[in-house]
Amino acid sequence: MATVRHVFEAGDAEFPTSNPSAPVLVQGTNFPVSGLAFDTTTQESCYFKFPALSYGSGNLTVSVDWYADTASSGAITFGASLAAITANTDTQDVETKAFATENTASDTHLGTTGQRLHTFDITVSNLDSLTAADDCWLRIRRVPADAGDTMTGDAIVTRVIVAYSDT
Amino acid sequence: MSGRFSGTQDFRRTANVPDDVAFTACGWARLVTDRNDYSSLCCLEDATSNATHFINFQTDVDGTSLTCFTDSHTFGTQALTVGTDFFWAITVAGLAAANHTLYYRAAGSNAFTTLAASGSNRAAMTPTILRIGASSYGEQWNGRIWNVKVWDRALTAAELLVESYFARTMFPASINVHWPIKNDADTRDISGNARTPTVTGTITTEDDRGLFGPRRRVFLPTTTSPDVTLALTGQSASFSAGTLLPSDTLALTGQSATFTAGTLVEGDAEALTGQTATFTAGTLSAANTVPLAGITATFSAGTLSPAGDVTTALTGLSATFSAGTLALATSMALTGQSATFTAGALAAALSIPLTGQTASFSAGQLTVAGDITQAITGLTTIFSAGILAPSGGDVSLSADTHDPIWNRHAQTQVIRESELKRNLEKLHGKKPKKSEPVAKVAEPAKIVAKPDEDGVILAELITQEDERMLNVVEQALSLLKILH
Repeated sequence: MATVRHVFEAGDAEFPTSNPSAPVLVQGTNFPVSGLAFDTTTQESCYFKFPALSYGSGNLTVSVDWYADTASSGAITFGASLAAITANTDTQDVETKAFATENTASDTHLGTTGQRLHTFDITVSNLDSLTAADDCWLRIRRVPADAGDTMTGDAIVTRVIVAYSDT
Repeated sequence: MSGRFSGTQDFRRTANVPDDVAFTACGWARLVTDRNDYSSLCCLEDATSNATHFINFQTDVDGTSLTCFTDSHTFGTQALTVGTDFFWAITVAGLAAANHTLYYRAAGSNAFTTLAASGSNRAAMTPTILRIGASSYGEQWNGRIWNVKVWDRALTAAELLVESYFARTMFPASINVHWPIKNDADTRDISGNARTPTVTGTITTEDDRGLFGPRRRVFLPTTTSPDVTLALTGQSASFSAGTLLPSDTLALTGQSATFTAGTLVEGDAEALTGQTATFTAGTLSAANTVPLAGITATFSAGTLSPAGDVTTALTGLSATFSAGTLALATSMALTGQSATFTAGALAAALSIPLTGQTASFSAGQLTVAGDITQAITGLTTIFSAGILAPSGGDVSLSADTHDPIWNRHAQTQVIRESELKRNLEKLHGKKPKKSEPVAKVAEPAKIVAKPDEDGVILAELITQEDERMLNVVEQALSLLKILH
């Protein structure tokens, strides 16, 4: 049994025309830091597309690396939603395909340093009948309206990893 | 890379020009030389020369205050710094001042500066030319321009912010042109509309600022041999590979277990239990124990080389080794109803105890060397070889039937005394003294003499009641061997 991982950076994202997460590129002290900024009040989202290569079974684990733009406390809530299509089999119109029910998770700022890097996992259990080699779209969005989202300022996502078992 | 505009150059289109009430233009730029004069980024005009109506996104007469000029609006300004890359954009959604917005974002910033317009509505016009880097009045840009995108609609600020980070078009709805201008020869339109620009003058190539691009990576588990125990249990287990390298224990239990490989190398113990166990390989190298228990156990390889301090124990109803070269470095114990070795060359360095109903060796060359004991216990023991050369220790055969093929005439022959004498005369070229018979055989004693092509003779005494005659015959046999 082994784990397949898809690694996404800010440049891999695609965006809705309405309320997209905002790409950012900060010239850090020693190297530039790129990411996607998710607003604290407006629900913003982005998308990643990937093929479910070697998917075996089980839930997807979506790991989100992020840091706070301005805050040093509070919590954030992010949601991950999956849409999977089996080419040649599914008759669904790809341009009207809907996402499966969103799965959410929260993470709390660890304090000490405002812009320290955090990571947390979202378990995607609503798999939309996912099978190996499916064309998949993953929506990532912050859910400011969630009771667990209390952090002020933007949450800047630097990386998203989608992982699943190949058996 | 980018295009450097430095004098009389511009990129222009006079066909499929955007509408003056619904368009967006954006791109990246750097002011290299302050001309202290109007310097144009993007102009939409109703004439190629001295246009009457225009929307000109350019600097003011000072050469560094970025703004926009129409025939009736007044816009805010943004100070440009020579040598600083910046993103620029203009959106137009109508004739009113409020329908015109300018966007500016310096490379180190992640937010727009927005320049709004004021004033009365401008007059409608029919644009006839879209120009990058100059206007109908000249007013050339002296600097770099790259990644120009033009739409036939007014994008939102959110859309433009995304577009400003990405080299590719992120919101392609109503795209008119996308000119990357990555170097002096780059006149592509990558919008998909095939609207390449007409280039006036000759631009040069300079550096640009990198933008976001896809960098997705996927990590898949490897398919090479696992570093751990490979255990397979089932009705049928099959391995097929160009190279099969289990580096640890290989345990296979099942009705049928099959290995097929160009190269099959086992590093550790292999335990194979099942109805059928088959190894087929161009090269089969077992470094360690190969215990095989099953009804049928088959090794088939171009080269089969179990090496090292190994014990090859094979228990089963049928055990078959078939190889072009079968080299056994140490002991090989084979027990079963049927044990068969077939090889072009079969070399066993040490003991080959073979126990079974049938034990067969068949080889072009069968060489058993060293201090060996070949003990074969079974109902039938067969050696078949072009050359059979046991050397070293004793060769003991114990079985009800021995049928070495080199004894091609496996028949009982009664040799009478007179015939024996004649044979001896032929062999030695002289008559034995009459008083000293070399051999005397009394009937009904029987001597079986079976010479082969090389003159090796094996004689077997059929059961004798006279012990004295037995001794005589034995003496005769010894003499014959010596003479040969």
